[in-house]
Amino acid sequence: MKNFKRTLITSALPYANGPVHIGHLSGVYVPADIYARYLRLKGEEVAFIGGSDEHGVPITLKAKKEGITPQDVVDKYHCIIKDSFEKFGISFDIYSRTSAKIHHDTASEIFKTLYDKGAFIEQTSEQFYDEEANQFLADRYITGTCPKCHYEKAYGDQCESCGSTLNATDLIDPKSVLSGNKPVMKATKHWFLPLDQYEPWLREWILEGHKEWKPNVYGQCKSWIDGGLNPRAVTRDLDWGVPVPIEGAEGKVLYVWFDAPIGYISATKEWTPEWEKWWKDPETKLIHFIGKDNIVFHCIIFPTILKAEGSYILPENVPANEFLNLEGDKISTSRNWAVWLHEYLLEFPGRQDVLRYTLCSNAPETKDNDFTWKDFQTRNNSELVAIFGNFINRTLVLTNNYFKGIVPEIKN
Amino acid sequence: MARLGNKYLADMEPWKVVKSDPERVKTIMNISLQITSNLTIVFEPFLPFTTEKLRRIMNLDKFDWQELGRTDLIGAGHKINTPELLFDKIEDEAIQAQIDKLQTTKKANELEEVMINPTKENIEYEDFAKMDIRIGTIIAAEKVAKTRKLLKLTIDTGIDKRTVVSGIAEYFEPEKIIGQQVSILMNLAPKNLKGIESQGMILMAENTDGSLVFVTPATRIKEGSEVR
Repeated sequence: MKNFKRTLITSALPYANGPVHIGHLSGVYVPADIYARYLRLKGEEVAFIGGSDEHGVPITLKAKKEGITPQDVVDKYHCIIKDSFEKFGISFDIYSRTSAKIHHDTASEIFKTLYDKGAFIEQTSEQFYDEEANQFLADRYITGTCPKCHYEKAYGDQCESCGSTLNATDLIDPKSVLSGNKPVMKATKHWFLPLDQYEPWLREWILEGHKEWKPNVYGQCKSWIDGGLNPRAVTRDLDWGVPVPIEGAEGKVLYVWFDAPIGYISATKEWTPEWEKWWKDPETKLIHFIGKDNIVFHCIIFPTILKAEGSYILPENVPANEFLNLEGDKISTSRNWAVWLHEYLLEFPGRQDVLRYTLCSNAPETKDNDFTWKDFQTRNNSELVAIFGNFINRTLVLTNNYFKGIVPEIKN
Repeated sequence: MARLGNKYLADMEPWKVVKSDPERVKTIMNISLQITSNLTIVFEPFLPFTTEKLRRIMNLDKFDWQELGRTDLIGAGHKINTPELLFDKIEDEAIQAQIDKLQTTKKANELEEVMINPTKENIEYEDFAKMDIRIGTIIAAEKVAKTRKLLKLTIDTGIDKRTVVSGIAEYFEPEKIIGQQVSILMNLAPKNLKGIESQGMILMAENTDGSLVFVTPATRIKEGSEVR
């Protein structure tokens, strides 16, 4: 094993279109926080980075639905999310956000560097367009039937039923989310990252070089690489995001998955002027804590961006957890099937550690796990109260009663 | 480790030994306090709030991880503060409240998923215009004897005060709907229901769970106003 001087820990950027729930906490933030606190206790040099992911289509859709601006949406949820993390003791060195200027500058700069190096393919293609709304339909503006599992409500970028990553044009019977109409095809220019060109390198770096990664992470990478990688568009026709910083790209922004991981870099910049030692010194160990739905972006796409840029280090490990279910059902924001952290804080004041304890005792490390309130109660009453609390309380009370609170000497 | 400490105390029974061998109790308590101090280290990454509180009670600073395992973390003569409980029991009621909250969510989700009926065939305006729908006010209401669903209503229609028998008794108490404005279909042919002649029909909206709601003007208006 290589010896590193310092550790850079990132945790997935929560998407700022809703508050955070126990699934987020158990899969990403509690494990990352435990690791950060442990390394700090050992006296190691650590940076623990987080922030809100504030771009992309779902935020614009939510804003439209509520009749407010996307900035209003992200301002609201960024505050709620940040506050929940603070109150749960997630010990970030910085918690930033991708609508910050420093992030726009950083993401633009990296895009520009890649563009100048000729790392992108420029391509005009036919994309879905809603004639009634006068708008190109990126990602979630399109729904239709998944070509793989035939789920009827798949989105233009992903099927939530089978988990496949899709291109909008793959959908069967596509519809515009805005008008419900069948969209027309219209030509538009975009920039693509030719992932296929990086396949030999990815194969060597991950499949040969990182056999120690968790089986779920390694397995997903392998199936992606073996399935054949395609060029991937890194820009979108949308008015919310980081504007594409080149001429002739008006009305286009960076694809949210291009800019979001760069958020880790911008947040580090915001935190310290010495950010380069954290991102460019090979003696820094970079670890991404994420959920299993983000594996491809952190193991394949983001490293490819960093590799193409040329001056950055690559992740040493990407511990991705499985999902936590709630009372037997999949946690769902849209169906309000969740335990929201900001609500827990009100309903169980001062008991953040009880939830932290339950979530790490029951962490979905190798398979999906289930959170139940009964188990939560048992963990508290039978373990924290009856064992840990009881031992400490007896020790302290007896010391107080017998020795007036003064530590006695050992007698042989 | 806490389990071990707990067992150690239970086995050593210092509360009994204190009477026969007080010197031995000093050792037992010193060892227990060393275990406790070690617990402030191991638990720190997992339970940061609890360990902070425990360190405060024990008057201890944060230790480095490397010091874990030492048997002299807390020296003889060190004064600890007044003990406080680290954890409280969580009662069944608090847990039940959370389970109930999820049940409410589940029910709401099921309602959302109920299929909405498709629209009926198109009709001409003349078909609609045949219906004489007006706003009236309920001025009297009573249950129809020996029925579960029926209420006998007296409606002030602006034109007359008429009797309407309506199948809403499962959702409304008669005394609570006096003064309620309703939409009434005036020219529905009268019909005898349980021996009472019903002159017209009041309109109800049916929620997806089957419950009924009055179709009422948004502000109070004069009886006899027409709905078109």
